[in-house]
Amino acid sequence: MKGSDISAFAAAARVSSPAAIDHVAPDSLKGIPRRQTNPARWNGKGWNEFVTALRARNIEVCENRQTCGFYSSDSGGLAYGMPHGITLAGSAAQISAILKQAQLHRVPVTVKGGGLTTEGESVAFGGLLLDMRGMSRVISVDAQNMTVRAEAGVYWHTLAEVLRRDGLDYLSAPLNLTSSLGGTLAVGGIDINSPRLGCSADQAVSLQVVTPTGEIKECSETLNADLFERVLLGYGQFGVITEATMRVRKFTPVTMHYFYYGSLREAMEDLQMLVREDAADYCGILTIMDKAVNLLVAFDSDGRERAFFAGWRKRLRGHGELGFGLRMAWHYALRPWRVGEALYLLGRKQELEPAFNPAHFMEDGRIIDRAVVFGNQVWKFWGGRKMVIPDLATSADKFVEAIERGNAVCKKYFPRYTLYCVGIKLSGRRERYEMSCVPPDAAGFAYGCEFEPILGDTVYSREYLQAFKNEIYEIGVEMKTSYYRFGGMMKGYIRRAFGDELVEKHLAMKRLADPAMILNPDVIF
Amino acid sequence: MTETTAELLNSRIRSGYEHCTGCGVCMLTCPVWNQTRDIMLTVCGRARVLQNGGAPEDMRQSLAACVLCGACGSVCPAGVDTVALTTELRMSLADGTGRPEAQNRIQGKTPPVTTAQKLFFPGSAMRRDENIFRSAARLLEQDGYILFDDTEISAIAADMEAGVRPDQDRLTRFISSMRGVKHIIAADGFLHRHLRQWLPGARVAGLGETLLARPEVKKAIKSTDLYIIEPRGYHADHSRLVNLYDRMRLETGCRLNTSLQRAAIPTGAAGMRNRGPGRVDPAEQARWILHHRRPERVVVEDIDDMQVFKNIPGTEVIHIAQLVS
Ligand SMILES: Cc1cc2nc3c(=O)[nH]c(=O)nc-3n(C[C@H](O)[C@H](O)[C@H](O)COP(=O)(O)OP(=O)(O)OC[C@H]3O[C@@H](n4cnc5c(N)ncnc54)[C@H](O)[C@@H]3O)c2cc1C
Ligand code: SF4
Ligand code: SF4
Repeated sequence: MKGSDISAFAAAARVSSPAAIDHVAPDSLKGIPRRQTNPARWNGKGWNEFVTALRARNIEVCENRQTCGFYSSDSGGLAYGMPHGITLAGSAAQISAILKQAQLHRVPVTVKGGGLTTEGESVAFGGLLLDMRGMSRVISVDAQNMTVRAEAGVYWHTLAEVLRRDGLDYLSAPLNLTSSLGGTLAVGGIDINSPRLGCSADQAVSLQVVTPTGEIKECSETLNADLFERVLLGYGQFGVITEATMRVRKFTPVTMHYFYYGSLREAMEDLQMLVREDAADYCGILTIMDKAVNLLVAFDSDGRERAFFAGWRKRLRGHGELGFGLRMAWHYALRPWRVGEALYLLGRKQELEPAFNPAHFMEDGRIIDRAVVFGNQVWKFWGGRKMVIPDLATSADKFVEAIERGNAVCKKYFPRYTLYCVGIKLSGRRERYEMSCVPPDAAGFAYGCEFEPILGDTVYSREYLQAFKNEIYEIGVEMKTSYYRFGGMMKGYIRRAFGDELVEKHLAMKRLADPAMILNPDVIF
Repeated sequence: MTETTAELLNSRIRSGYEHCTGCGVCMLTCPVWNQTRDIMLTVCGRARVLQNGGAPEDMRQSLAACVLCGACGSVCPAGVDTVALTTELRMSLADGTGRPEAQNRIQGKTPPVTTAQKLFFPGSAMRRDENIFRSAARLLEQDGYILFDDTEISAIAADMEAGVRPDQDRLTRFISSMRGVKHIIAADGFLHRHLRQWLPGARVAGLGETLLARPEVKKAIKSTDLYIIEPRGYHADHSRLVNLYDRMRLETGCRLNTSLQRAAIPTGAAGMRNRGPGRVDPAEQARWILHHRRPERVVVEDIDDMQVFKNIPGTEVIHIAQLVS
């Protein structure tokens, strides 16, 4: 489909016009083949025997329809599946018993932490859904060794609440408050300090894991190292993480600075320069539009902030607020027909600025609890009952091209959207990176970008949203990048992006670890 | 359409539950979640049940578990009026969720028409503690507040909390008697949102906020104190009060019972006053508030919180009204 065709398609597909084209017609996704990702679904066989066996072991399984209905989707709100029953995780022993029975009766078990996936990775298409949030205790804080041991269902936010009582903080976590520790270790965990500190999975010191066959094992880089490497960034394929020991740090308030760019490319190049040269404690890109790009830079200490302003500021091509405001005013003065765009920019800025700097979270010009502020605002401004956030994870070399191509796709489909880009420090060459969100050709740093349309009150069909995501994912296939959202509805792309050989290798490992293929069967394979 | 359905429809319009994204941010501050980890007992669960076409009857247990502290509403990014949602759903249940003996048990006196502009509603809990009640009334009298016999409105509030829809005539009589009132101090935070709705011309404030405006009270708060904000009133006007209490914290150096999201961590005791024990154990909440904190003294705004903290060994507890007496 040509660019102009798809724009017309985009306009028609916004359901403001009821006479829009039929989205479920076989040709509605021209050029984007539909994929049946899991032709051989489990059909309910063995469920009753499985539940009876669990109940005999005092394990509660809730089959109430309202409760199961609650768990029928994830944050994406596009993938729907009804579990047969729900169990609230209670202990490693309980999970071990569940998995042993699941192997015996060949009943699928899907593990859910915060459920913040957007491709249905944490949705159970039948079988048992294990809600890990039942295991949410912070077990111990070791201020001497700067570690914390916690149950894997704990929300990062809850962990932060407990750590703060000792003046401590976690290192990196997703900016959304309600992702769980275990779910994040299974997928990565990117923060705006990941250019310095890496992803959450690389901050794990040791784990307690229940393997798909029900063995309870402790693992680390030195103990059961194979399991450790398989489970981190393992998308719940090789075991259920029940406890984790994580590195922690001293809590610090943060000073923030924003630089504004009229060019996405310049902003991306500058971001890469800051990441490469370790110029800031936190940095990332957030766009309002592709001609209004915000490069955020933040610091834990005055020393680092001073060094940045002495050394790097002058190398950045971004402007301060006033300079950028004047440039934009000039830009739109010459293009009065674009007044709507100018007003959108202004309105968005006026909404976002106070929201990201609320007085009661500021002290001496520093922001306290930046994760709380950012997490809340992410939900407020970008959250919705449907969330469409396809992404690409690339090596340094491919970053700019991949994001520019993704930006062009966004533009075709949506009038307003946001890009969120960050760098991720890698910790050498790790087995855990193989077939994960870390691109195979990345060395030193990887880069990620989320493409998030602002859906507002417009109702888009599921097909339309899926077509958009597919086009972003196709870029990954063509450029041989990776994805942060990895699996579920987009698992068809994993084989295409990584190739049969690698996928078959992992499938063989999975078969060995999980003979009945019961643990998170709908995520990757 | 049955009456129940009509009421539910009303509540849907008012609470905005349909905007709930399921983000779960409300759970982070919810004492029921904190103690049960059962999502179906939270407002996030209730909103999703409604979105999926469920009825109030499907969430009877969940509705009963809520202590109406309002912490969830003050952090909800989608702006769902969570307290309205829960109270309306409770009232939509045929028999409410309060224990029967708790419902309608107090029939207060019909209030006389008042010509006063500044009233103090001490609430049923405070009336039971003569000393604190007198101290608070004395301090407020100095600012021109008249002690008001609020047994009738306390009874209506208790009913509403238990899931009994207030009798329109009773309510109308109360509202008409308040015509000239400009300022109300209500010790029971549950009343704040309702008083603001019923008496839009009156400024409604909490006891703590009002007493803190007195320099000698603020001065009496020490940096070694842990100050327990009354959560229901605080959350009912969160965007204003969060800044007020934050300034107080900075000025006095004391600590607050606030979470990282700046919600007030509730003990849940007030929610049990009219309904008896439920899923939230106030002692466990108090232990979490005190976790890794060693305050020399705990200062409470809500009389219901006094006993909860007093029961924790080694904790000195004082009510804000006693600070300068
Ligand atoms: C609004 C929003 C903002 C986001 N922002 C960020 C961000 O800033 N940075 C970022 O990195 N991500 C972000 N994400 C993605 C999301 O945070 C991650 O997918 C998340 O960390 C997953 O954690 P979870 O607890 O929600 O896991 P879930 O969604 O519950 O599960 C994720 C996967 O892990 C498996 N799993 C869950 N728990 C376990 C366990 N204990 N053991 C083994 N496997 C398990 C599940 O089966 C599933 O396959 C965002 C998502 C949303 C919706
Ligand atoms: S915080 Fe608000 S939007 Fe989020 S789950 Fe709770 S009620 Fe719903
Ligand atoms: S009002 Fe309080 S107890 Fe009720 S759902 Fe909200 S936070 Fe939980």
